[in-house]
Amino acid sequence: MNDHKPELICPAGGLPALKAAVDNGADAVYVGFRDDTNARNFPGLNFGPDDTARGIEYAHRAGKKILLALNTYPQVHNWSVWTTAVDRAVELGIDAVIMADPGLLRYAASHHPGLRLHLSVQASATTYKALEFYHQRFGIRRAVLPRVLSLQQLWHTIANSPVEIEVFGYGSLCVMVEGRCALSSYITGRSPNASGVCSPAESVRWEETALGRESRLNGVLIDRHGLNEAAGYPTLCKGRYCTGTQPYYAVEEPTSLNILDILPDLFRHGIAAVKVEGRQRSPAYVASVARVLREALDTCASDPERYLVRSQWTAVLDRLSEGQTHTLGAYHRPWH
Amino acid sequence: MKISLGPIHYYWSKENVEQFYRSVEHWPVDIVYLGETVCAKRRALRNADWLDIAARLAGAGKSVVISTLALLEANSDLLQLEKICANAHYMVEANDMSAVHLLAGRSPFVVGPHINCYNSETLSLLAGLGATRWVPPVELPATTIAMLQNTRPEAMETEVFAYGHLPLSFSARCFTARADNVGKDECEQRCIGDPEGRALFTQEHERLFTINGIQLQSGIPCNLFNEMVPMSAMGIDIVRISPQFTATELVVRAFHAVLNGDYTSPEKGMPAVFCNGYWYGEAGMKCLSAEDD
Amino acid sequence: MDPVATAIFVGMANRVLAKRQPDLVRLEGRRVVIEVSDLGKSLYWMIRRGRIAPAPVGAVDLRIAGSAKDLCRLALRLDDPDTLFFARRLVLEGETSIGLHFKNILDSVDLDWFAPIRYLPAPLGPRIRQTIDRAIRITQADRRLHDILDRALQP
Repeated sequence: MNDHKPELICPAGGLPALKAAVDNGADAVYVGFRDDTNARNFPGLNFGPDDTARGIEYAHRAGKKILLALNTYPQVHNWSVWTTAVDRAVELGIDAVIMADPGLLRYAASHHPGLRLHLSVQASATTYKALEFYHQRFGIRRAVLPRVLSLQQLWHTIANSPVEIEVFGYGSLCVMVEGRCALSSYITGRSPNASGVCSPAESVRWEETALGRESRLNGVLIDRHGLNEAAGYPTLCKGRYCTGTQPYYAVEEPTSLNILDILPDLFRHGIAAVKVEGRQRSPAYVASVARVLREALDTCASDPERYLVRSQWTAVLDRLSEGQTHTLGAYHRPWH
Repeated sequence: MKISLGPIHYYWSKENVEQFYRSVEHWPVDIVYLGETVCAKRRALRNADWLDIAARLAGAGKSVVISTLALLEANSDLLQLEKICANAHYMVEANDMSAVHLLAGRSPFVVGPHINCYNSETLSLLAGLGATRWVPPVELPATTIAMLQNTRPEAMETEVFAYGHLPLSFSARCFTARADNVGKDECEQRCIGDPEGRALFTQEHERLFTINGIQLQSGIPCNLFNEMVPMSAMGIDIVRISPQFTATELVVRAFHAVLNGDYTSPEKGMPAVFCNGYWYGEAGMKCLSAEDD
Repeated sequence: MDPVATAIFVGMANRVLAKRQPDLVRLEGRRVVIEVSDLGKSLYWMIRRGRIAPAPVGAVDLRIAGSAKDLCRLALRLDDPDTLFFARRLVLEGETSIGLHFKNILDSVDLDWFAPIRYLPAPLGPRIRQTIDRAIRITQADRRLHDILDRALQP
């Protein structure tokens, strides 16, 4: 256990967001190619070849790293798209690739032994035994953990892990074990694992009705929001449903994860990196979040004992959050 | 094609579980998966109890497999997993990479539906580690499974989730406890009161999902009863039926009758409302037939 | 319908999106209305041959509505649309995917004020650019400009 400063990993869905991340204090920026090889396969989002090269150049000039998410699961008919993406990552000089598929990890490890591999949250690894598997078989150097472990479970995993551990620090909260959620495909036919998208935009309809704003996914009513009620993404896990007569948030309220409260603990237990969710968000979001987290990490590093969350940080982050509010998620026992 | 009975997804009392498997001894199923796959807090049956059931079923000529937990969190979950993987009598269905790690190179194992195996490379990797059977993730369409069949490693059996409420997602949070407005730590295993889970409806009264502790399932059962001919043509080895509290025997017998060429009363025991969209590469909740193409 | 506002919007949008024609082509023929709710003005436009063009009043594929201030904040990248949407300050009705696609195209535009300098002969161009970059970094002029605009357009 050592008091070192975790890296700040920020998202970018395009070059302006990447620049915003680098300019506002990210140590590394994670990006995706413009196809279904990553879990934010949205129309018009992500990086073409030119943008990727320019982004890498921009980050490297500032001494920052670029990580590439190739974190969806290739299938038989499109396998070569993923392997080509791995090859391209190496040619472009990407600093590390974030992957989940065991077959693809094996490809990368055997064809590009010098390439740094990170295990994606989509691999659903929640124990050090699972991490040992990926480490021994493919030589992964870091793993991003699903947002399901309590703090005690997290400390135990870190203490026994053969690799560095990265956790989500801020952003929209996935309440399911990532990589093991097919809610989206059950309703729309497309899921994060197979298509790189949750609640695809083409299936989403919002309608302002007399009863409020209705959110529908492939025709299925997910929620109705009253006039001034804060809203969230139209994902199935954040809708209001009924087991009895009263609709309630049966799975999770629209909210975002925010770990500023437990930053000193994360330092103490040797977290390697803190990750911000949101490659689908705009440069304005990336800049604001990066700035707050940079300041928080630096403040905590300079004096972890006296570290206190500033109300201004929370205000900035809450404003950007789903439902305009935040939670510690699984790190906070009563949340379960 | 053989018929298997998947692990019980719900929490039933010890008496109910034992009674269920005593009747299963007489059902026309070839393979029976036992054990808790959803929540580590469900401890009505201890390891010894499961092994007793396993011995009786094996004595009745069933091939028994022990299934492992899909979501492991606490260290105690890992210790339990190590015990299961070290058992000398029964094959193990791995539902997490921790289990694959413990089984790799030691004994043949089944790749469960919660392992993300979407392509030939991953399947051959798992075969190299000792997998001899795999259950595709429930969202994989028939076309993809067919392609995987063409390249599957030798001696790899394919088992398709053919009937039951689809296990769609897992969380750290317990949705049953949440529905009753209590914390997970105070849950008192209240899911034992929902032997077929709890129905979740949209605000327009559409049956959306089924709450089963930390798991969400499809609102209506998936049923690939009408797809057995193409499945057989694809070389699928086993169809899996996921136990419900009621009427599972009727479903098993209906599948068995058709597999034996008896089409006299095919609809008997089958639910009126079901889904099969995943099989056709569509939204899982849809109900389609080959004529829709 | 406001012809002047629409003309200004169309002109500016096409200047900003000049290099994004290949992306816009994928939205060919789609019709959108932006309603500035507090001013009672509606801008009807569509994608025609990879460019933004004024469209007649009528049926649209997507309706966007918000206050003048919020729409300005979006245009100046002071806020991201998701934030305003969560806060119920932005309305999106119709084909959501068009809105998302268009938003992502806008977000991908690298607003580089110094692009012309890049075309000066080496080593002059890069050197001038580096000097300006450094000056901006030291004075934090960009951040100050951002903060001034942010304050001026507080909701």
